[in-house]
Amino acid sequence: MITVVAGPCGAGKTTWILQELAQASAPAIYVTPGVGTVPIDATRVAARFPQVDIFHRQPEAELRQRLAAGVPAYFELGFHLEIDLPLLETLPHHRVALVADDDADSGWSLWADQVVRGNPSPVKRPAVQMWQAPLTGQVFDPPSLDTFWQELTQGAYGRVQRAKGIFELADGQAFHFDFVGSLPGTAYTELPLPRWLEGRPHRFSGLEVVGQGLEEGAITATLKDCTLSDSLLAPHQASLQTSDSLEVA
Amino acid sequence: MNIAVLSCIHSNLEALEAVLRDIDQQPVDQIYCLGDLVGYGPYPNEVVAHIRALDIPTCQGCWDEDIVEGLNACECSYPSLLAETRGRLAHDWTNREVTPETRTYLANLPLTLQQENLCFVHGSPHSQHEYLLPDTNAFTAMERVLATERLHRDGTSPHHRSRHPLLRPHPHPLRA
Repeated sequence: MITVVAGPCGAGKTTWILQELAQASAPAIYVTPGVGTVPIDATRVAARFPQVDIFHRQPEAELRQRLAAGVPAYFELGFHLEIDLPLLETLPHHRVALVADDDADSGWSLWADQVVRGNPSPVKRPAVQMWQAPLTGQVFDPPSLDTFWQELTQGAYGRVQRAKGIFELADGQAFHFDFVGSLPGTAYTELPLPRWLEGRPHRFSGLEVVGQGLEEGAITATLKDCTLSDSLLAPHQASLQTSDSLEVA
Repeated sequence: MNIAVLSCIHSNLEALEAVLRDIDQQPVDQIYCLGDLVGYGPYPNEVVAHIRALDIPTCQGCWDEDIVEGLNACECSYPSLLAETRGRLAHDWTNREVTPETRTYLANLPLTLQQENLCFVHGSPHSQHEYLLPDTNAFTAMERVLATERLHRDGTSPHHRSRHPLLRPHPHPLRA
């Protein structure tokens, strides 16, 4: 069974897939094409369900092989992608669209076999700008990141309608940040991953921002000012390791 | 007696004027200013001139002292790396912008102001750089109060405020 999930920006596609995966006991596949070097949703799914096979950059032949084996698969299509993938032309699949009530007559509903109520989308295409930044290896000072995130989502660097990211924090935890302009506040979720306390993390982190008039240079510069240098990170991790070992003892 | 207390104007002339307009609408008998007239904002000289023109009793804040004595005088406990970076940039800019007249005025501000049983300070009676936070040890807080000979029962300080809410309780990595 292949389920293809689409919908406007911020509708809740990944969250819906996570809910579906939580109810399934069999192995599954998660496919998210077109995310390039910033696979935020894929990382979120992989952290929550390590047994799920994640496809976002692998060769198509490998994916076809897995699909032919009949493993349940979820395709998540970003709002900026075409909703008819050539790969799926010859494969039977079930189309799910997440749309808000006020978007019920949009093209998503016409395309879908099943319509699920989603969040109101803050993004009105086409005058929208998407900016992505891989941040792998960067470790953030939490209060600095908090300040940056408040500034970002409240318009200090342009009008932001959607922002999501995975950030490594100084105490070794990885957090997922999720902001949708049509919803109040930001959802902060700790990813169920081991704390990284030895050097710079060798696992993905990154940021994606959707909006208008984004000041990319200022965003980049501020992000840099929120990160720990090697000279700060090393002694901080050493002190954390010491305190951890004392707690164990 | 109704008292209006201002603090941490930080060269924000527009905000100062807005607050003063609001005070004008209130039955206020006396205005006090707890310092930090300069730093961060773009109008350090104009803010000082405005406070002086209105003859508002003002004590010295940590930023006011920094401009007088240089950054080394400050033991600022920045709440984050980002705040520290921005603070240093703001200090350098302000230090270049202030006139000799402004600098002299800031240098001569008193560290405390008293009125009857009230004491007005920027940080604590001990130092304008010291924060008295809700989780400050009670003994330490009392010691700070007793350290000021002329201090009476009450004190007012802008650094007696809640910490900025962080993502979660977490020590500053620089000060862990």
